[in-house]
Amino acid sequence: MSVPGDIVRFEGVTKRFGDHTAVDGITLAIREGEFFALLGPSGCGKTTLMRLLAGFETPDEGRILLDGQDIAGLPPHRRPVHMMFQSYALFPHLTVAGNIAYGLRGLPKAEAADRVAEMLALVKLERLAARKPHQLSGGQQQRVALARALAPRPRILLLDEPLGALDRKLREETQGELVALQRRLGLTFVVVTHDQDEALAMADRLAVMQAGHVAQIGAPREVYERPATRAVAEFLGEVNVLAHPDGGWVAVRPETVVLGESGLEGCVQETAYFGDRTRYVVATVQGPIRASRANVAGEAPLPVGANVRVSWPPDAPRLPA
Amino acid sequence: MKRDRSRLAALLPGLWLAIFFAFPFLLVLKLSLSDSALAMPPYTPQLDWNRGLAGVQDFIAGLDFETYARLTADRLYLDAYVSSLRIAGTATLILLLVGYPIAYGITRCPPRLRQMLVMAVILPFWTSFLIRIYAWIAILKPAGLLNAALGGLGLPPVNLLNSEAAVLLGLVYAYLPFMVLPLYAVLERQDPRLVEAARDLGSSPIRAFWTVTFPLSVPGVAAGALLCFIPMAGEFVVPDLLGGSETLMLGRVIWTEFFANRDWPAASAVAVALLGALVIPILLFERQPGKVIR
Repeated sequence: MSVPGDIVRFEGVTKRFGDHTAVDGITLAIREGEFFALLGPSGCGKTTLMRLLAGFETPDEGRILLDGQDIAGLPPHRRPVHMMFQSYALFPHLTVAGNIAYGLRGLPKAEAADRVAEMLALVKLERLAARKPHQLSGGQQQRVALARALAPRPRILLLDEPLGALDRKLREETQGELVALQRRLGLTFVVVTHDQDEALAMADRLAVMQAGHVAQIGAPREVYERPATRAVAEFLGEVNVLAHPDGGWVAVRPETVVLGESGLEGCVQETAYFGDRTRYVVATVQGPIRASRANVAGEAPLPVGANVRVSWPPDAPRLPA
Repeated sequence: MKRDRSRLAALLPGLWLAIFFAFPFLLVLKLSLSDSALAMPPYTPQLDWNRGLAGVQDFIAGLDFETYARLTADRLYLDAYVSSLRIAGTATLILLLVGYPIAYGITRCPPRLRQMLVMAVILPFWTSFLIRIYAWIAILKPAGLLNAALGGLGLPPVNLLNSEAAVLLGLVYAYLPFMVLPLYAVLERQDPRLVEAARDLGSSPIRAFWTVTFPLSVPGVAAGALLCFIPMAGEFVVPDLLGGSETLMLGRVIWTEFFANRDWPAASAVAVALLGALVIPILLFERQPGKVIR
C-alpha cells in the first residue's frame, strides 16, 4: 500500500463535474521532501487534482492517502496541507502580520508572535509587517502568501501557479528563491503550473497531465529527453517529429539538431537571433525542421537561403505511433 | 484638461443637490426660524423685496430660535425623537438579521438563479408602496388574514394592528430591498478564494465567515443600515397606517404640526432637528479614520 518515502498517494482518483470528467482514475505518488510539479495545459485536471489534495473537492472514486491515512473525506481545515493561492488571495482587511498569523489560532499568543516574526524574517518582510496587502507590490504579496501558508508548518505546501502573476524578471528570481527555500525547509512542495520552463527549472519530478490523465511522470530531464508520447514531447518545449528509417517516429529537440556537412540536404528558410543562440527553420524533404544553435562570439549565424545538411542523434527517442 | 473635465462631471450632481436639496432645505430652515401667525401664509416675517435693503434687514431681525426653544420645552417632541430613533434602530437591526442571510444566500446560488432572486427582491416595488402597506392592514386587522390563519390552526387570535410591532413589521417589509441590495453588492464582489484560503488555514466554515466574509462586508452593512435607518426615522406612511395613535414617530408629529395645527415653523424646526440628529453622527463616523475599510 503505502511505500515508505511516499507522503501522498492518489489511488484511482476520479472527479467529475456534471458530465465532464476532470480527473480520470489517477494513481500517483508524491515523495516526502520533493519538489513535485503538476504540469499541463489549462483544463487538463491539474488544478482539480491539487484542490482534491487541499480538500476543496471530494473525489467521486478512489482514495487519497496522506502518510498512509485516507483523507478524501476530511474538510480542508482538518488537513495539514496548506496552499499558496493563485494571485494569493490575501485577506485585504488584515495587515501582513495579521495575514501570516491567521493560521496560527491554535498556538499560544507568544508562540504565534514568534512564529510570525520568524516567517517575516524568512521572506524578508520584517519592515512591512504593519502594511495592508494593497500597499504591497506583486512580489511582496507573493512572499506574504508564501509566509502565510508556511506559518502553520504544513506537511505539504501546495502552490497554485505561484509565479503566474509576476513579471518575467521577477519570475526567474523567485523560481530560484522557491527552490532554495524548499531545500532549506526540506518540505514537500507541490506546484501546479502550465509553464513547462517553470516546471523543468524547479521540480525534482513532474507529472505531465492531459485530459484528466497523467501522460508521463519523471524527473525533468527524463520527461524532456525521453517523452512517452507525442503530446508530452510537444507540450514540453519545441520538438521535431520525424520519420524513423525503421518506420514510426522520433522526437528530435531543436538543440540536438546538427547543421553541418552530413545528413539530410536542406536550405535555411527562417532565422531568429536570440543573443545567446539562433533558431533556424530548415526546409528539407522531410518538411521544415527546427534547429537551435548556440552562438559563438565572432561567428555570424547562417543566413537565410544557405544550403546546409541536417542530422540528429541516432538515439533520439521513438514515439508510439 | 483632465481636472477641468472632472470638475465638469462634479457639476451635475452639485447642481442637482443645490436645486433639490440645498434650496428646499434653506427654505425649511428659514421657516423654522420664523414665528407662527394667523395669516396666509401662516408665519412671519415675510420678506418684502419692494422695501429693498431695509426690507431684508427687517426680515433677518424677525428670525429667531424661539421655535427651537419651544421644542426643547415640550416633552412630546423629545419623546417623539427618542421613539423614532428607537423604532428605526430596532427595524434596522431586524433588517440586518433578515437581510444578511438573504443577500448571502443569493450569492451562494448559481449565477442564473442569482439574477432571478435579485429580481424577486426588487419585485414588490412594481406595486404601489401605499397599496402594499394597506394590504398589511387587511392581514393584521382583528378579523384579518393572520387571525383567520391562526384560527384555522386552532391558535388564539392576536391583535397586532395599531401597535409598535405592526410598525416594525411594516418597516422591515417595506425597506428589505434597501438592505438586501447593498449587502448583495459587496458579498457578490467578494473573491470566493478568500474563504477558501481561510478554510485552508484551519478555519471552520463558521470561523471563516466571521473572520473573513463578515468583516469584508462591513461597508455593505453600513450602506444598507444608513439607507434604511435614515428614511425610517422620518417615515410617515407606515406608522400612520399601521401604528395607530399609540405610536409616536416624528413623521406624524411633522404632519400634525403642518396640517392639523397649521404651525409651519414648528413642523420645519422638527424636520431640521431630525436632519441634524441624523447627519451629525454620520459625519463624525465618516471622519473617524480606520472605521471604514478602504
